[in-house]
Amino acid sequence: MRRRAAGAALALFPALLAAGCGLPERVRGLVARPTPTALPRPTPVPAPPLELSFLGIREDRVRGGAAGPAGTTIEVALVGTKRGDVETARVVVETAFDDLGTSLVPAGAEDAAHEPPRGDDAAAPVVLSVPLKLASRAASSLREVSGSIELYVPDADPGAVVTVPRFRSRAGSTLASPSLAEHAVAIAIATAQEAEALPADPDDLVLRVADPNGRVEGFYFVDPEGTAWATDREERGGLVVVSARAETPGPEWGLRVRLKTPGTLRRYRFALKDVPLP
Amino acid sequence: MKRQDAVSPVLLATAALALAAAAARVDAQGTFRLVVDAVAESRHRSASNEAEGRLTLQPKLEGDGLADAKAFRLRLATAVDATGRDVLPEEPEPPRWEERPSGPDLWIVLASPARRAAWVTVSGTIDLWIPSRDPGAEATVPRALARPGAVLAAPGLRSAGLTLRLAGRGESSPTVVSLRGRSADVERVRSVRVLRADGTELSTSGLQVTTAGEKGSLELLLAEPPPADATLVLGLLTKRSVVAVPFELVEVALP
Repeated sequence: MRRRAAGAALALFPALLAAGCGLPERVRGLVARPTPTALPRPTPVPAPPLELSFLGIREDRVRGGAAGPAGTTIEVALVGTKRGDVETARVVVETAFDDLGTSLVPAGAEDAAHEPPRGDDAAAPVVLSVPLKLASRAASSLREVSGSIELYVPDADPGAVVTVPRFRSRAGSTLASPSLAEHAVAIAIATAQEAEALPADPDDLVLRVADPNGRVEGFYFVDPEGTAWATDREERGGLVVVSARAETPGPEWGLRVRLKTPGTLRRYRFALKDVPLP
Repeated sequence: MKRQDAVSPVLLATAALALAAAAARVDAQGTFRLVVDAVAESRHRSASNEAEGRLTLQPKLEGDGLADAKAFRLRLATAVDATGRDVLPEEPEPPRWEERPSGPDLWIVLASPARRAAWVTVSGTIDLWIPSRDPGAEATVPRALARPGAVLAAPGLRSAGLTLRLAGRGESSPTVVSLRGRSADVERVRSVRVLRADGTELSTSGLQVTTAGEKGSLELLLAEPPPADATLVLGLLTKRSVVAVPFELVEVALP
């Protein structure tokens, strides 16, 4: 449908130019929109090389109820990255041994979640924490720590971002997008009756989401100025309830869906050897 | 005033296993223990190989000997780890009074012990403020708010050697009773209560003590403006109301 609209606008374009009149804003928008393509994209793996810079190692050792969590954390900077490009990242520790031969791979390491890297300086390198179990006080160094780092870079793949304008007026409709279809993602906005029956807060957005491959990274509300605001989401009664963290979206707001496509995920191997313990 | 007995500074130190505890008698009838029930240690090494860290023992006082104590303070004298390293901080925080027998103001913050150290031993003094031991630990100032800017006049303050002045008009909010004085005098005031003419007490939300060099101030935050004929009741640290008991926490196991 969008392809047909763009085609019609393209046909109008020479005539409008020939008439010497200004291009109406709506038509200009259609012309400027790239034609969706279904061409396969090259996988970015292996990703561009990065330099891993060791920043420090910290141990938190505790005993007793109120003393807080315990663990070891190695901090590394990814030289060559920019914080502003990376939405989330995760570190999967696969091997970790101290000089006594004790494994320090934390429980559930393979299921590490994507988290936003810390820091607000968009130009600064990404700094990540490598979590480990505590080494014995008798250990003096980490013989080896290795695993993988996964960065989610949404802007690396234009097809990973789908934005729907004025979603408030689309209750009951399915979001049509070649990117969603390409990744087997189907999203429909629930009808008002479905949302009421859930029940859901009238300010929330209720979606019916089919995402068998776990491609959806998140939903964002886009204000009329184009700023995307992160949301909270909760699965309830087979539906997904999306809630604003800040301002409630109004009728002019859009909905942005971010996908984790192969083009947005950059994976790196890392290895640290002979790290002195603090 | 229930007890006027001399304090026995006898200390019974116990070896630390899962918990470390020091026990002491506060008088002929009551005993109490200093128990370390949580230990937190942070250690950091930077890329330039600079190491730093700290060890925090989180103790609490418990026992029937504390029944009349209204404030508690720990002062450290020595702290060594199992390797013999002195772990007293180079610039320790000044000891603070804590109104509960546990809490952050009683935490023992030490320098980082050696990595291979298995324990630390700490000694010092536990101060208990027991105002019931000394009639002079409470000074009553009738109509204290009647003369803003004036020095508070009360026999209790004179005998304690304290000079405190009520802040002048406009120097503080209508719901704040503000007293000014030398830092040494301000720090000897542990509590401030405001009584109406009928003897009922005004609700408060906190007492802020500020000292800067020689000068200090006390700000008592009230739920309502005090009546002009209000009476101030000050709890004072006096020699007889403060009980100092030495303690030693022996071989507190490190996490």
